[in-house]
Amino acid sequence: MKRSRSVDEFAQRELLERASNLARSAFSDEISPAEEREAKRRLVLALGVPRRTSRRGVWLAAALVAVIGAAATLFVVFRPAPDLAYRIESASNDDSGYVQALAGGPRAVAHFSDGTDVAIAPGGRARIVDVTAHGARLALEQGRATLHVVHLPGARWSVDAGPFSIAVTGTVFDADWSGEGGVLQVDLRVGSVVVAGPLSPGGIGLHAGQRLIANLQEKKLRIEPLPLPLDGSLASASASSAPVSPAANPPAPSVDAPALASDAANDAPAETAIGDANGFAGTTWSKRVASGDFASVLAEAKSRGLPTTLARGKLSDLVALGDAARYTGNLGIARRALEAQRSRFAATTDAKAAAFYLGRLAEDRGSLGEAIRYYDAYLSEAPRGSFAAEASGRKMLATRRASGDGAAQALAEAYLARFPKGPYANVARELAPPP
Amino acid sequence: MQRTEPRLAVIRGLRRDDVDDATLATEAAAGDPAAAGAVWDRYSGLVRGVLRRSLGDRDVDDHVQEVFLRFFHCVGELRDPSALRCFLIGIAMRVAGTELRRRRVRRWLSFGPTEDLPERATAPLDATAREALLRLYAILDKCDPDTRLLFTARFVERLELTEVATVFGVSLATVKRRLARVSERVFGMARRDAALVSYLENAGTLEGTS
Repeated sequence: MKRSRSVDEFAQRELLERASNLARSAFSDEISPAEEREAKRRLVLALGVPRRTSRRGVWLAAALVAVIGAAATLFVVFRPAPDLAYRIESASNDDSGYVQALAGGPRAVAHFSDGTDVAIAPGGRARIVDVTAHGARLALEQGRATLHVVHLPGARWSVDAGPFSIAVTGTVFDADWSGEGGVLQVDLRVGSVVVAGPLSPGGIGLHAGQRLIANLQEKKLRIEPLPLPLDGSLASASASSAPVSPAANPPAPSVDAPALASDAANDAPAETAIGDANGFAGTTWSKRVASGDFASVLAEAKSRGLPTTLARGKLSDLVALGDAARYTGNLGIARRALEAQRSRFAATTDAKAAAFYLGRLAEDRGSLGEAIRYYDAYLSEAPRGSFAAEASGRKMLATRRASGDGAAQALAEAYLARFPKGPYANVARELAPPP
Repeated sequence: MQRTEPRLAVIRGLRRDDVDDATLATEAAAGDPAAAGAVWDRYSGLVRGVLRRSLGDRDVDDHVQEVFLRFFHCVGELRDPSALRCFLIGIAMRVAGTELRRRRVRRWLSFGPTEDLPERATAPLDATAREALLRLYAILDKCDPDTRLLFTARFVERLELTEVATVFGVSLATVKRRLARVSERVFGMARRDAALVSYLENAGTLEGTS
């Protein structure tokens, strides 16, 4: 009898162990780097909204709910939220979710039931791809769109423009996409967005008062202060989206590559102007990069002397310098900063990530062998790192470009096995179709 | 006294990989944005995994957000800063419990089929594994949310008994007693499910031969 009980206990433990293993293997902790950044960005925004409910308030609310009546409350509270409704004001309204404003005609506007408006400027066209209870996904095919997204809890809006994706919560911004030129311009008036795409695979944050210009052909991405309208109000500028006269209010210095390549005398005033404008003068390089102020970081590195900075700078400064240089197209400086991270701070998380970024830089230069070596280095040093999916996918693509589909097939299979929903899963399936 | 609401900053250069949990928690409670960012970097994956395994993948991002919002709101109440991990898992479990109860009420109101089944796994599974997974979660569905989460914490998340006690705020003896009951119950239902037992037996065989 005792033996039988023991056997049963063993069977129970064994079965529960295997069942738990099944659950653990089915649901991983992983998420793509882009999703991770977007999730963090959402939290940053949410934390910016003060929570006023105190513990006492919660209890009072609970008591009130109980008094009103559980059944009725539950029905209202737990009823699944319906998808947002929308109507389109357009000369060519066809109810298919296509928003088109003919050149020379009035703008077309999609009004959503949560109060969000999407206006397409004349000559532009967009498609409402997907609508949920918390937002919508728009594909901007051509031209300029002005979005006033109402910030509600759980709001999820995104705009696809060519290969770029703009993740939004509550904000006001203009997005201008030229498919022919491969140029995306995002003018952010209120709130913050994350723009992900070929030039910023991990996503780059944009804050109110900033303009992002991504040029696919030139492979350049820059962020500059947004020219202010005459009344100095960023939010009011979005209401009209009217062009602002540069003569009336000249834009602040931009942070694009040619400007930074200029002499040191030009760099110093730019640093002061931008630093003061954003209130970051004297703050760390990391914080300046996080705020999009790349110019002052580069200018200060140059004024200190690049060799000195690279040889003696602390890790966080090298990381910030590498980021600032990458975002502004100063790829030579970016590469040196990343190499310094690896040589001087080997085995740190940042040094491992530097291998991935160096791989990206090598790939962009067309040095596929070098890129693959860096991706291998990253995957070997950080097999579960935040860029693991990205590095695996990039390695697969680089191998395909260097040696053909056959050589990349095994990498595709390995990629699919590990990241079935990863950002390169579709390409991997092309290379390794299921049997 | 007005408490400082920690502000999270996306600042890549301020990772604190070498800082221990106690320091992180103390700095996050003091409103240090870099510490708050480091807490996210260190534990968002764990929290996401706990929620996925407790609830499935649907809406998991929203639940992760809720966990961290609650955390930053109440991190000042953390008495033992070194228990940061358990504190976060505890919040995740409470969020999961709320969601499970919400789904239960919804199901009751709509007289619809269960919504608690994990509709899609995040890892590739063959057909038999998917079926076994559905059956396992159907069994867990029959338990009340607290019991189910206790099972998940101990067996799926593999928390130590003392950690389970901390997470659920009960004594060690209570944890042992409840776990014995839920184990017996889950085991009883599982062994009556021939397909699940068959899969798990084969899984054991494969493990043994590999």
